[in-house]
Amino acid sequence: MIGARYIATSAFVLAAALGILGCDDTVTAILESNRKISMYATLDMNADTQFVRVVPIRGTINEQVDPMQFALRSIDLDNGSEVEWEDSLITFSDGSEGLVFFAPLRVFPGHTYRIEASGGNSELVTSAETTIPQIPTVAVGPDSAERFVTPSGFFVISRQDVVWNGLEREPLEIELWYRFLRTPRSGFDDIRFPFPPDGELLGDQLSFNLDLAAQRFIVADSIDTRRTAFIGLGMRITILNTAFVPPGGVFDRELLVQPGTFSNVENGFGFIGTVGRFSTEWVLQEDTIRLLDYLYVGDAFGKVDAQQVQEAATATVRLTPAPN
Amino acid sequence: MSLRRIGLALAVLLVVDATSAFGQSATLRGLVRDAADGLPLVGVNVALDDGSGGLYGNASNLDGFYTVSRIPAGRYILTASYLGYATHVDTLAFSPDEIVTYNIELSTDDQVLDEVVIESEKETAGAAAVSAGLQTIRPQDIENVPTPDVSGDLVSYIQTIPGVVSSGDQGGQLFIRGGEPSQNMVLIDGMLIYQPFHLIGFYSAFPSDILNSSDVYAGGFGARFGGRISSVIDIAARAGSKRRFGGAVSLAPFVSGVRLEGPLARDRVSILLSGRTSVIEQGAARLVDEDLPYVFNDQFGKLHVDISQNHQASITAIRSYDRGTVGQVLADDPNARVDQVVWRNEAYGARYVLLPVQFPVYAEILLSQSRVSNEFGPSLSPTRFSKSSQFEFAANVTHYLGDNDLKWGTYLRSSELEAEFGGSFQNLATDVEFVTEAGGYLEPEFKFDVGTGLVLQPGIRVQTFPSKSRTFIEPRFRGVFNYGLHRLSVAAGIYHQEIIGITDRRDAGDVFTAWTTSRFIDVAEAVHLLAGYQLSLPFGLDFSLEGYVKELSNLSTSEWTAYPRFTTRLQPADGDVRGADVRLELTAGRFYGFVNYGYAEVEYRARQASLPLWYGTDELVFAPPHDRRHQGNALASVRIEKFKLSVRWQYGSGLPFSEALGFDEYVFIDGPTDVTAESGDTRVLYGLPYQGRLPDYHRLDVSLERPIEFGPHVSATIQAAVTNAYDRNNVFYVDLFTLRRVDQLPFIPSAGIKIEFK
Repeated sequence: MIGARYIATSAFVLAAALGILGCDDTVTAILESNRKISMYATLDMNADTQFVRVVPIRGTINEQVDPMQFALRSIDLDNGSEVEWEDSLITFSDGSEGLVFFAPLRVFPGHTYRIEASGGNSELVTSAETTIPQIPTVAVGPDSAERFVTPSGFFVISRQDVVWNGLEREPLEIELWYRFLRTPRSGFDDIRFPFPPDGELLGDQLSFNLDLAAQRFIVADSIDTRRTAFIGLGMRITILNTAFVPPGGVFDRELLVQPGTFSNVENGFGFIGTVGRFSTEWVLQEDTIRLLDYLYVGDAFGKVDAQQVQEAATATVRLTPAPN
Repeated sequence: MSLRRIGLALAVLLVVDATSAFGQSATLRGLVRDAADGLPLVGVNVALDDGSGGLYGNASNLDGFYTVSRIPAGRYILTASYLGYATHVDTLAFSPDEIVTYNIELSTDDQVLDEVVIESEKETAGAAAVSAGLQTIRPQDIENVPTPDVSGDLVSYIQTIPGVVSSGDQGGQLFIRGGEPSQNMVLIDGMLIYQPFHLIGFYSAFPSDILNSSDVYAGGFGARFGGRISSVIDIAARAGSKRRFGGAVSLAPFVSGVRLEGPLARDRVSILLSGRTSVIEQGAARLVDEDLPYVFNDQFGKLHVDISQNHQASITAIRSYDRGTVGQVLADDPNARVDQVVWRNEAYGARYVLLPVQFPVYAEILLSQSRVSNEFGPSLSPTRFSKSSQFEFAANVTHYLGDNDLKWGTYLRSSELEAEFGGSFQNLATDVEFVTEAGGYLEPEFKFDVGTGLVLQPGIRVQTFPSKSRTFIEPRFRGVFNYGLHRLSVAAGIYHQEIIGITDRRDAGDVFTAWTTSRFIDVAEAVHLLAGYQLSLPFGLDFSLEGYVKELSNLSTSEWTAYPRFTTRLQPADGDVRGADVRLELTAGRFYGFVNYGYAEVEYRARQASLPLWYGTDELVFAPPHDRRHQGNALASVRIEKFKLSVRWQYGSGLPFSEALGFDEYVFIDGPTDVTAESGDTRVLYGLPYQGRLPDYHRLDVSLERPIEFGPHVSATIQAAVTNAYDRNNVFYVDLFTLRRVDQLPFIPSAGIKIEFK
């Protein structure tokens, strides 16, 4: 028979020995990585100051990181110009703070910018390259207007073509507005259309056939067209750069939050995209304006003033030119 | 199968019984009780010997009932034997077609009692007596496991079973052979208890002194059980003494409790009441000088009535309450979460047992109502709330057909599931659902060479959910072959689970469970296959080896997301569990001990829309956080003079956890974005899920007990114990959001006393 004391003693010794053998109780929960910083921005062609949010990657959720140790610079890869950005600690509306770098910087269509962040005890530089959408061309066709009389009255058919060429992708936003002026010295009243016009995208060409007569009724709901002079029309498209393509084609927050799924940042996470905004304005022929029953600017202010107003306000395709 | 068909089958079975009853054979049946307190004795072998080699017999069941049928007319010597009790011998004569009711009372054998621990002779009782996934746990088994309390608890023993993985000293989560806690069915007296394990891992709602026995089916359970896909813990609570009043009061640094029992009408009606409450904050927390913010308690009551020789009834009620903050809150971390989890269980039930006078049948009828509620969030304003209730009517019938038994049953369940979440949780809407379920089972038991030969138990279970237009037909099989000292066993079955419990397993500290119906078109399904071998050597050494496979499909697992929040969505997953257990048990004089080792592999394969984007694969293959590959337990208990020394050492290889690159703020950019106005959402930059492994877990617990007699009616037990004797820094979990480490309980010395009167 096995001695009870012997067995009990053996069990103790065995347990103690195993306890000593398995004494490593350390846990390493953070993986080694060369990704140190996340960056977020949309460089906007229309803005004269750009902003980049820099988020240091931290080891715990509540770790405090000194924001002053980071630096950011941008390089225009098309002309070599470099800009050192200034840092700023911003308090958001929810009370949290974030490190945002800013620089007085205009970005140009077709140019590629490299954004580099460094610091945080890391030799590595976190960077992203992003390209502003190419400048498109726009052609505004002649306006037409015709009045038809019926036994019960009359109606007007008036249309005009606007064609954008050289678009890299479908615009994010399309805006159309009608411009009015109450007095020669007052500001313009822009009646923005409540819904974007229907356009047809074919390759890099986006075409609109504007129904000016139908739009007349909508505009008349917003402004007194008998007392306010009609100046012209304007259209603007906002277009994101080609990197702005989420996996699966849908901007789903739950999907895109997964690290690396929608990122153009090297040695880090995040996304830096660009936005191009291109607009054009034009005037209608006097006959068209009258047939559409708008107040012609010459009737409102006299011919001299009308010419000055129109020259100042419209008739130019205002697309920002790119420097050399 | 329609209810009409089930009814038709019942009628046929009664005809079969009537035929057997009016054949040429007799039937003997009755109740076996302890002469001291009138309590039923389980597993007593009742044998009839005709003196010429004809042997007939059976063992008493959980209610103490036994039935021996198809006995040829004649004279027999009856023996009723039970270890630790004096053998009862009598001579009986049977006429053809006679049904004899013969109750037996056994008295303890004082000479034997001094030497050995009284043990039920149920063949699945004992640390190495696993048979096709079934192991029976008796109160005396539990008392051998050292705990920081004088009284034992069922869960402390269950945690010594290989293949059972617990969330640790805290959390109250048990994973049985790869199954999640909500995939385990826990029954007491036939009543479902949703979440019976307390927040501190040493305790459940089942103290050992209310238990009769507990059958733990780690898999491959028979057709009687359904609605869960992993395991069944079927607990039989004992009744109070019908002959004398008794009770106990215990005081210890973790839990203190009271038990009262006694006859309300001698030999007819008894009551057993038990209540325990945690005193951790006042006791153990001071011992270790550490915050242990846990409060729990449980109450149990059972009224048992012997209506007549052929009828018994009982009413059982149980409640439990848990509240606590899982994981430690670091004093120097003001931003650490202080969410607390609260859950409450309630179950009330009535059980009626009858042996019809005309038929060799044992039948029970059960009515029960079970409830659970869960809360999670700040203590005064929980953000998540879930509750579930179930009403059940069930009837279980056993027909004794000579060597063979025929078991069948039917049931009707109605569940109400309700949840409210602050924000979304696992894409569950705030909702109330009603689910009705009906079904039945048929499970014959064919015995060849009773006691030593082959027992085959094929079965079929039908479950139908009219409101869901779903019906499941589940074949089951259990088989045991005894050959001398050897036993081979197999089990297999198909299982479905319509009502599931959902927990965000990404964070071990989050034990909030929402009970709901299956979230996908296909409900969770499991296929089990087990095979085992057992060897019982005559000098008290038992050995067993069992292998198992579980194929899981249509599981609901947490969607993988980088948002560090508990509110997330579900993804479907399939899984495989493979493993094997080896057990060795030795009983030698005053020494009792066992060692066991379990190897297991759990693998999940999850599908999620974002996986191709994130990891470049349609399917994420990972080991879930309960995939403990290696596990071992060693327990030794020895009686030295008046003392009982118990030592338990447990080992578990490291559990998977998710490593991360760190944290950042995520700014959602879907167009021109003003980054000076968007603060962003905090994000976890995960590596591949569950690729890390925590350090191995091991712990040594020791207890020393000494009983003291103060006379024939009063005794006391004093105990000194140490938990985590060598103060191992076992990791409980790594906080998902702060990546801070949360440890299990440290070295805890404790002392307790229990005073019993009888």
